[in-house]
Amino acid sequence: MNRSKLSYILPLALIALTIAGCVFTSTVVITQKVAPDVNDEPITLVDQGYPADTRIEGCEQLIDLTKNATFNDFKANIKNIDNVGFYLSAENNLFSPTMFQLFLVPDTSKHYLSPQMLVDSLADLVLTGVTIPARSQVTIDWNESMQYITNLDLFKDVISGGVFSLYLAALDPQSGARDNFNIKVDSLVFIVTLTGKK
Amino acid sequence: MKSFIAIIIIALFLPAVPALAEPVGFGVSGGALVPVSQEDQSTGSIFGIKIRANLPGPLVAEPNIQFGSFGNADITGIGSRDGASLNSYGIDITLGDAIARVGFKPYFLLGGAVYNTKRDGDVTTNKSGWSFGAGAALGIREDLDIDFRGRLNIISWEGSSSKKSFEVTVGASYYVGLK
Repeated sequence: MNRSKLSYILPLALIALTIAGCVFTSTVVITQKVAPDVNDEPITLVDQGYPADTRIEGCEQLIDLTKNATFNDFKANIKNIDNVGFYLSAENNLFSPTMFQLFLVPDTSKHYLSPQMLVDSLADLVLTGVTIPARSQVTIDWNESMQYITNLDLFKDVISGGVFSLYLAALDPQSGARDNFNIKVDSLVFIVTLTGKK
Repeated sequence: MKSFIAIIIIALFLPAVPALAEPVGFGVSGGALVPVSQEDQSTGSIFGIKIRANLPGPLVAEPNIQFGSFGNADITGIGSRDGASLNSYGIDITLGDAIARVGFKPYFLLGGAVYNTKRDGDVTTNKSGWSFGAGAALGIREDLDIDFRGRLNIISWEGSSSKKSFEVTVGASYYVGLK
């Protein structure tokens, strides 16, 4: 084969190989609303010195991404969970600051009544550091949320399965106490960026 | 595997290096960087510099460096996320854009590069990738071309996936060493 023919065939062969390989993957952003709840009501978390085995309403939130049409389109061929983020709008109703946190529980058959029981069970913290000043509201958008995410690799592994529990929690940033909070979560949206094939 | 193929391709062209003929061109380009099948980015900008050197036959080698950034992704109700930066260094081979020739010169191109992607909240990555495209150069003088180019970048990503983007650029090349 002469050099002139080779100079045409080589690029075309490489282009064909590339197209046949990994070209057909897409990156999509999936959002899952956690709050407001199904009744369009904000989630209010209150613990004011309750015993650890007192049920804190709203604390446990089941995340089922398999109900999301886009996630289902990609579920069988997820190549990579690129990133995880949140949108949060929450209000601290106490006269002292509080720190908002999220814990991840992959096994949805396990149920914890309160943040303290959750911590005692060594559940994984996946979001922390969002401090809400006394009697104030904060909004954390998608871009800003990245700095508060922790245990990202574990989070990514669990998300691929599509179903897991998130626990909303809070602590006193000064004393570390977990039994003194009163937060109204007006909006919490869980954001997953993934790359895969339909 | 893709890195290995890139090395092989570059090695194929190495024997031609001693045969490089003057003149040599120096080019700059700039334009739009458009994400393809990436909802977490939007259109941004790209700027590049390159050297143009003759290879045997109708081929021209273009070692290049590019500096790009995607625009922010906006999703209603949850705000925006900053776009990633996308910088690269690599080599393109063009077929049909002769150096130092006056006139209209359409061409095809094939390239290989290492792409650096950086973004707040993501791990900074260096990945190999391919690109292909086409363009047209307008040789307005022997020593000066104006160039229009479209190119698809395909960057290998985690789990045998890819990140794709399209560039549309305008550039100019100046040639030295004309006889």
